[in-house]
Amino acid sequence: MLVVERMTPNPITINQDATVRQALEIIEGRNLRHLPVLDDEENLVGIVSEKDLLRAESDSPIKEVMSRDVVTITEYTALEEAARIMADHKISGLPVMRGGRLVGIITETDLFKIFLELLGAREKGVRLTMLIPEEPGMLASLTGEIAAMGGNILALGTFMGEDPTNRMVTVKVSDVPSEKLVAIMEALGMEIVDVREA
Amino acid sequence: MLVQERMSTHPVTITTETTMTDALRVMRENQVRRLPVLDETGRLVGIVSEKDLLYASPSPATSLSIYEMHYMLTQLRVTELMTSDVITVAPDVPLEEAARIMADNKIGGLPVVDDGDLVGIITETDIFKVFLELLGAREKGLRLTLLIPERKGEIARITTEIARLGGNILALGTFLGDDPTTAVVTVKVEDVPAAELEAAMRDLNCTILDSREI
Repeated sequence: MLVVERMTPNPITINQDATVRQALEIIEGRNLRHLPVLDDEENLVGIVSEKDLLRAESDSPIKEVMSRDVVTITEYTALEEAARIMADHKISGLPVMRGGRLVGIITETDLFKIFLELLGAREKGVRLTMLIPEEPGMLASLTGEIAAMGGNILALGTFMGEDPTNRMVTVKVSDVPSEKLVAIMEALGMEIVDVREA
Repeated sequence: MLVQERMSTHPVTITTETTMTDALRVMRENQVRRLPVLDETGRLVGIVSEKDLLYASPSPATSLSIYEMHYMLTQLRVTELMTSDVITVAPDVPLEEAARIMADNKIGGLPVVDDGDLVGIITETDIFKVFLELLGAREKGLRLTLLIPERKGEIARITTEIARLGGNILALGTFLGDDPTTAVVTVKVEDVPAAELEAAMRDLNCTILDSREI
């Protein structure tokens, strides 16, 4: 999954000579938290957040309140790489560039929606969390068993375990009763951490 | 993965007597963006965000004198600005459910309440870190994105094939596909050459959308 698949293309922008008041009028009601800032030639020269605007005087020009050190990415950056950049820089929005031109913006909120998909938050099924030994082939045997009993995997996510020898897996499955699923996973040597219908 | 595994315990709180100026100071000192508000018995009665406070601050263009403004800010209590209908979660709620509640209500953080007591707070940032783990953003390997048919056993076939080639799966995530008949899978693998893995996936009728070493 790449940035281009989830970014907002052609984002709303503001000129660096506009005022804080004008910028606040633009973001109000649109639920925007960032505006990329352009110069008269439409080059990206900064980014301004809702908070920068709220802390500033309303007649100030945007160029005096914006961040000039803009971290940007390209359309073909992996989504998790975009997420890592946001986390490492403690920023919640990244302008997306193509050949020096602004073509989109991707925000924490966009990535948040992907997280919901990843763990099947909007789908119904048996949700099982287990600790599995960190060995090649463990995920294969887990998913193979689910398929063998006629289950459909709605979502599957792997997390770091309690120590380097194991890994935490959360899987959401439909079409298998939970008792049967738990019994088979235990038989495979998985340690069940949590089980629920969600 | 449940909320209690990733929440911040012992969150910084304020009381119904706290003024707006003090609340902003507490946020800055502790680098937090929201504060649960407790009454004198320690019960959660509200939540206030930095944004609530900033929107309520008088604009520098106000006609109030600096003394009047200062007086107003030091007198105004957070109870005037806080959200009283606080949406909370229990510690044993799955993380993705907490994430769904935040997304549906457009809020960035949820107080965690157990049996009436505030036991923690979980924020978008906490969930963000889990997302990084989920897709192995901090691990090195070959990252493949595949379009697969949405049917039983597909993920098993893929993981079995990777295991057969001697590969170790560092991360695996499933997404919705272009339409209900397909799904997108992103998998990060080590110990298998890219060409070999790609050929094997094609043999399984997966469409390779993207392949890169990260």
